[in-house]
This record gives sequence, structure tokens and C-alpha cells, in this order.
Amino acid sequence: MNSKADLLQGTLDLLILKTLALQTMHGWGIAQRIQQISQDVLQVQQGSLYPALRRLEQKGWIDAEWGDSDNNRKARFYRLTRAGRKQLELETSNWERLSAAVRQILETA
Amino acid sequence: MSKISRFRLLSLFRKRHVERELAAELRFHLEKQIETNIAAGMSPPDARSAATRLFGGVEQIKEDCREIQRLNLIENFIQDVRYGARSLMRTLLLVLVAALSIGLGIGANITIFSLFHAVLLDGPTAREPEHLVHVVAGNSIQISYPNFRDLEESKLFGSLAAYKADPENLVNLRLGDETKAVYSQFVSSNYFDLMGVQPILGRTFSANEARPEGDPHLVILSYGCWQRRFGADAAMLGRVLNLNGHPYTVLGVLPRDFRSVIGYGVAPELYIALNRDLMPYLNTRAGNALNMIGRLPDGATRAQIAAALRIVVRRLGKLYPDDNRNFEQVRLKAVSGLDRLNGNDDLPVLLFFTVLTIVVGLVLLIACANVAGLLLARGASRRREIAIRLAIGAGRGRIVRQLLTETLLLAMAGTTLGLLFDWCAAALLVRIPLPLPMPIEFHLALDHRMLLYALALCALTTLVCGLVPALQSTRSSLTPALKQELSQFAHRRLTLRNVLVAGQVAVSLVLLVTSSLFLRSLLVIGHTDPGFDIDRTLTAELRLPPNRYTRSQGETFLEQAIDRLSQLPGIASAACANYLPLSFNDRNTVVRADGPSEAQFNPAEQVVGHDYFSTMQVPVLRGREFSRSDREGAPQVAIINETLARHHFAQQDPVGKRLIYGWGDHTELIEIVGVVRDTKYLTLGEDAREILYLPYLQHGDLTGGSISLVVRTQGDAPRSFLPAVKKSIRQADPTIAFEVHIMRDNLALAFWPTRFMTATLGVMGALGLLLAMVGLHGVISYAVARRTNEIGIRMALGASRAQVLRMILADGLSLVAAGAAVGLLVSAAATGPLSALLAAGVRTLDPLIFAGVALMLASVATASTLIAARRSMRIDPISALRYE
Repeated sequence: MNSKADLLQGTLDLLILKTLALQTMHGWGIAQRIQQISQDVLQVQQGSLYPALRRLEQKGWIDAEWGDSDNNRKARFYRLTRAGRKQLELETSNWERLSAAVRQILETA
Repeated sequence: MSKISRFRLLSLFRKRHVERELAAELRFHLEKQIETNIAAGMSPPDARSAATRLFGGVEQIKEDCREIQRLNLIENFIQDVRYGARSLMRTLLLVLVAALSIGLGIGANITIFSLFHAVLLDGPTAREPEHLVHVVAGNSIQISYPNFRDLEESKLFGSLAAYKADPENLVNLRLGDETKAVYSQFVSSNYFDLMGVQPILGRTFSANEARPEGDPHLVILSYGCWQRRFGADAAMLGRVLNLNGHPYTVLGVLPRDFRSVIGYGVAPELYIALNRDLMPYLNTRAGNALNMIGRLPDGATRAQIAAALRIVVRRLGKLYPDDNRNFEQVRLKAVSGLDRLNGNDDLPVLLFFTVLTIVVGLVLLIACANVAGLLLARGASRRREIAIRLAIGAGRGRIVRQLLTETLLLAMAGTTLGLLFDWCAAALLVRIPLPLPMPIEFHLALDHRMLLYALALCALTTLVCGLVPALQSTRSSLTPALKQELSQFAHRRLTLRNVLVAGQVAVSLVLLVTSSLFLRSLLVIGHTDPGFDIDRTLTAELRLPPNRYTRSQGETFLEQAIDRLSQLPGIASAACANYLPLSFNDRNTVVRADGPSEAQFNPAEQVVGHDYFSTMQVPVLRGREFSRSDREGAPQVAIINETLARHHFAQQDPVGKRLIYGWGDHTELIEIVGVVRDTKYLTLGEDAREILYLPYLQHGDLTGGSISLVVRTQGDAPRSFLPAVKKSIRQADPTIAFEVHIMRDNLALAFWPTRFMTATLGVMGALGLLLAMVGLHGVISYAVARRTNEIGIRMALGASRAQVLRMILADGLSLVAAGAAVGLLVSAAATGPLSALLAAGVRTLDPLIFAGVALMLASVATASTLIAARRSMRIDPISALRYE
């Protein structure tokens, strides 16, 4: 439905973890933040966001709690766990290695 | 509990709550999107529709989230299984020992359960057996044919049938020159219609063709009969058999796994339609000989039908007041399951199985203790690995689940072995010939019930073996584990493993003591004098068709047969009796002393012919034994045994005294003419009983039925006289079915239950002991390994190897001593109820047995500990000090 770049599952996980590393936020907030920082290049679909959040929760990398958001409405806030922090480091280094390799190949051609 | 496991528990048990939360979360997201759209300038309705469009299918999102949860559980389980299998492969020996232990324990349990089911709970082969009921109505357990027909015509049941299947239901089958007595079931014409059984050959008779009024001569064979007696003759259908001297047509053969309605594995060989040849008194309303089975009509309960039946029964009582006296009771019982058990009759068998179940349960417990011990040791050696996993964030629940999955794998391997073991055991058990008067067939198939039982045991075993070790291995005091400080000098005695081994020793001791008690019982019985001669006596059981002779014909036949036998070369004498001692016959009678006291007593009764006591070599202590002149018309006489004399004629000479025999209108005055020495009556292990003997010519059945003969031979080879005796009887009457044995073979029956119990308990006890010793060996080896450092220090400080060995031995034996003490206490307390199954004179608190078993246990344990401690002898102090 969206013409902008679709995100692979593993990449989405990485972005969610990174976003939460900076601040605890709810699902809407995560989607907005990713969109903002990437300057609208990356738009997260709700259809992929919430299953991804479930998956990360089950793996024990993020934790969730209901809390008050603006307008006194209740929202579900996610935060990074210690295991999640470790996973973030792992995945970030993997990603950097991968993208460096791809860039090298593209540059030498 | 960490948040993660809480989350997972939430997903399992509060699914709806989680769904609601997700819905709320998505709603919040949607509202925020709408707000953003409005802030960007859209109108509220446009904002909403744009947001909803962007949102895509909410249901799809929910479904995807649900899918994630499902996949995760399965994914976790597969991961656990893979990891567990890899981890177990590394310690293959442990896996083998554990699986074998569990396999033996579970296998034994399944076998006993299937035996219990086959003997006590299994129902007959029939269409919809849950609608069948045993019907007892009238003034006794059995009912007469006319009354049965009246009940049938009341149409209370969907259908009602009758049958006769007492142990004496034998018909004489003539095959060539031989006549054999065959155990059969007589059935009413609609029996097979009611049961709805499909034969594998031919057909069953229908209600119309088999009415007793039409004198049907139709028979259906059991599969076993067809195989054994007719060699599975392909041309069996339509063949005519000579039964009790009359021709009967074979209509069909029943399937191999057919179970009769009698239960207990009893398997009649012939099923014959009721007729007047088989039951001459069929049309007598007062004769009670038939059992009834009924099919409940659709939707009716047992209680409803029982109430309606009671009204009909009372009416029959009023209609025929002379024949149907006290015609009142009505009882409907299920044909299978626990409802079928018969109260007091089934009590000894129930007790037998309870003992067996407890025994195999204990063996399984010992096996589980072994496996738990092994898992504890394994967990201890993996403490580093587990500590690291806990530190990097895996929840304790997750690791416990993974360890339990490993245990589950072990348990499943063991259960598979156990099912295999049960299959073999069942195949062997059904081959054991049971020395009982009726043919018994057990069907020990591995059906869904057994598999369910096996799975239940598997789950239970997993929890019992695995839960505590898993919890203990993941305890939070991890720092010492990480730093490898294994508390070397704090040598705790009361560890869980040690307690387990002590428990195993205790249980093994209880099993061995019980087994020894039965062994002792067996020996006592083996040396019990039955009271009559068993080395030179032959016995013959004769079976005449009913009403074969008139009374005088029968008398002549009997006299001639006995005379001919006693005149054979090498035969000293012969005599007859209605049945012989130790032959499962137990008949009591009521007599009263003729005198002012009219004291009543309840002796066992036996009807014997002249010269019986001299033939059986039972000494006559006072008076005389029966002679030919004690016959019909002569004065009524009796002989008593010394126990009866001692109890009721203590200070007097019983000879000459009178007894009142019989009740109601038929009493007779009998004079005592002799007193004989005590003999055993029903079992070799029984206490002394009062026995009353009556003369055969006055009280015996001379027209037909069963007669027993005894023959005393000269010399030491009674077996050599068998052919001559058989020939003589055959010549006396070729239509009689008979079996001739030497008395010693007959007694094998009496030994059988005790022999079986001894063997079973002995095997179980040995098994338990073996498992316990394996456990002990494991514990000692582990202790030695753990204390290597300490041992090195001791030896460096001057201790000799012998001293080290003594230290290890002392530890091991103190464990065994603790277990043995508990075991002895439990044995002393719990073996009381067993005295019902043991021979008289065997004390359950026999100090010799207790001491003997304890001593044997101690020696085996010492050997096991020594083997394990050998390692400690080979420790080199220098490398031990370096050992970490």
C-alpha cells in the first residue's frame, strides 16, 4: 500500500530496539519516531509493527506496561530490557559489518 | 517470576485479557493517527477514513499477533527438545541407565494394570456392552427357566437372556475312543441375538430355531476349542458332535479374542442351546439354576428398570407362593468396570492385585529415585553453564522448562522401553497354564487404555524425577558456582541425593522382606503333611451325563467299578468320594448335637464310600470306617474328624452319639460310628477344620454328575498303574469322561498361588535391590570425585590409603544403615495384612527373616560401596591437590 521502502523483519526489530534504547514509548510513538528520524524515508506499517512488538516481547528483549499518556488516556509503554540491550549491540555490529561489505562491493564496481 | 514468564503465563491462561489489551492498544494508535490527520488539516470524517485506510485490516493484525504467540510456544519446545537431545547424547551412559530403569518400572506397572483389567474389570464381547446388565431376581442369585420366561415376557428389558455357567457345567464330548469332560455354557435361545456377537465361522442360532420346546441340538465352539480339540478343522460347520451321548450340530465358531460374560478370563469351550437333555429339570419353577443378562431399553436407567422389575417379581411371588418363596430381591449390575466387582467374593483377588500394584509402584519409585539422583548429579556438574545462561538474562522458568524437557525425553525413551517390556511379558504370561478346573484365557492386548496409562505414568515420572533437580540446579546462589568454589570442606550428609538412596534402600528392604515371607510360606506348605498318602495314591475324576443311571443302576455300576479296580494286580484297594481334598471344593453343612444343649456347629462336609480311609491311609482313631452295609435303608451314620471331636465331644467318646442333620422338614438323626485323624480340606496352609463324613451309598449322587475315585497302589511307582486304571474305568462305562492322575500332581494346584507370589515378589525385590545398589554406587562415586581435593590433602598429611577407604566406606554404609533402619520399621508395621495370604504358622514379624534380609542387604551394599570407593584408592595426592 505504501510506496516508500518496506522494512525487512530483522531490520524492523533493530530499529524498534534502537528507538527504545533512547526512551520508553508506546507503539504509536515508536512508529512516529522512526518516521521522523529517517525523514519520512521509513514508514512503519501498523500491520508489521504490532506483530514485531509481540515477537520482541516474547523473546524477552522488551518489556511492556500500561501507563498514562497525554490527555490521560491509557497506552501500553515498551522499554528495553537488559537482554534486549545486549541484542541491540549484537545486531548493530552485525548490521554495520553487513552494510560496510555491501558498500565496498558497490564502490569497487 | 520474571516478567517474561509472567507474560507467557498470561498468554496461556488469560488469552481474552491479552486480546482485549491488544485491541485497546490498536484503538489508541488509530486515535493518535486521526489526531495527526486533523492537525494536518483534514476534516474529522476524512481524517478518520484516511487513518482507517492506513491502518489496514485490524483483524489481520490481531491474527498475526496471535500467530506469533503460537509459533513461539512450538518454537520454544522444539528448541528445548533439540538442545536437550544434544546435551543427553553427550552422556549416553546416563541416558541408557535412566531409560532402562524407567522402562523396567513403567513396564512392570503397565503389565500389572493390564492383568488387573483383564481379570477384574474387562467386560464381555458384545454389541454396546455399556447397555448390558447382570440381572438377579427372585429368592436367590440364580433363577428357574419358567420364572425367567415370565420376566422376559414382561418386556421390561430391550431383551433378556439366560445362561448356565457354573464350574460343574461339564459335558462329555466323545471323540473316537476318548470321552472328555468339556466346560460349557448353556444359553437361552435369544442369547446370541442379545449379545450381538459376530462369529468368525458360520453363524449363531437365532431365537426361533433354538427354543427349548423344540429340543434343539445346536452348539457353537469357542476359538480355543476349535483349535485345540479339532485342529482348526476347515469343515467344522455342520459337523455332528456326540455330547452326553446325543448328537449336536455345530453352527459356528466364535472369534479368537471373544470374552465370555462370566468374566475373570473364564472361557467356556462350547455354547449349547438349552434343552431338556442338558437340564432335565428345566421346566421346574422352583429349581434355580440360570443366570440372567439383560439389555436396557434406550434411555432407561438401571434404577428405573430395577424398580419396575421389583413389581413384576413380587407379582410372581404372589402367583406361585409355593415355588417362589420370598421372591423379592432385584439387583442389576454392570457387566464391566468397577461396578462389576462382587464385594466379598472378589476380595482375595482384589487384595492380591492391590499388593502387586503397590509392589510395582514401589519399584517404579525406586527407579525414579535413581533417575532423580542421576539428574541431580548432572545438574551439579552443569552449574557453570546454567549460571552463565541465567546471568545473560534467560529466565529461571525458561531453563527449568528446558531441563524438564530433557527429563521428558528420558521418560519417553523409558516409556517406550516399558511398553516393549510389557508386550513381551504379556506374551509370556498368557502361556502360563493355570491349574484351575475351568479353562482361563486372558486377553492382554495393548489397547488405548494401556497407552493412556503409560502416558500418564510418563508424565508423572517426568515430574517426579525432573522437577526437584531442575529447581535445585537453577537456584539463585550462583556466585560460588561461577567462582568454582564447591564448598569442598562443608561435607553435608543430608543432601537430597543421599536421602534418595537411603529411601531406595528402605523400599528394597521392604520388598525383600515381603518376598522372604512368601518364600517361607512356600517352604512351610511344602512340608505340610496333608493328612493322607500322596505317594502311592491315584485319583480319578469321573463325569457322568445327568440321569445316566437310575439309582440302583448307578449303585451297581459304582460297586462293580470299584471291585474291578481293587482286583487289578498291584492295587491294594479302591474307594469313591463326591470330591477329594484340596480340589477347590468347599462345602459346609449345619448340624446340631442331639442332646439337651442342641449346640449347633458348622463343619465342612465330604461324602465318601466304604474303605475310603484305608485307601487314603488316614488312620481311624476310634470306632470304624464306612462299610458296604452303610446304605439306603440302613441306619444313618457319620464319621467325624478329631478336630470336631475335640471341639464338641471333649470329655466323651463321640462314637455312639447322635447328630441332627438337615433343616426344616428334612432332618435326620445320624449316629457317629468313627473318629478319624485330621486331614487338610481346601488348602495346605489352612488351620485345622471340623469335617463331617457321610457314607456315599446314603448321601451320594448315584444317577449322574461327578464322582471321584481313589486307588492305593503297592510299590513306589504309582505312574506305572495309570494305563491299567484308565482301561478298567473305560471298560466299566465307555460313555464316561474321566481324568486319572497321581495324587502328587493334584497337589500342584495347592502350591500355585504361593509359588506365583514368591516368584513375583522375589523378582521385584531383586530388581529393586539392583536399582538401589546402582544408585548407591552413583552416590559414592560422585562423593569421591567431589572430595578428591580433600582426600589429596588428607593423604598429604599422612593418612594411608586404607584409612581413606575406611572413611568412604563408613559414609556409604551409614547411608545404607539409615535406609535399612527405616525399611525394617516399615516392614514391621506394614506386613500385617499379608498374613491373610500366608500359610498358617508363618509370622509376619519373624526376626530370623528380618535379620537375614538386613544382613544380605548389608553385604551387597558393602560390595557396591567398595567398588565405587576403589577409585579413592587410586588417587595420587599431588594431582588431587591440583584438582579443581
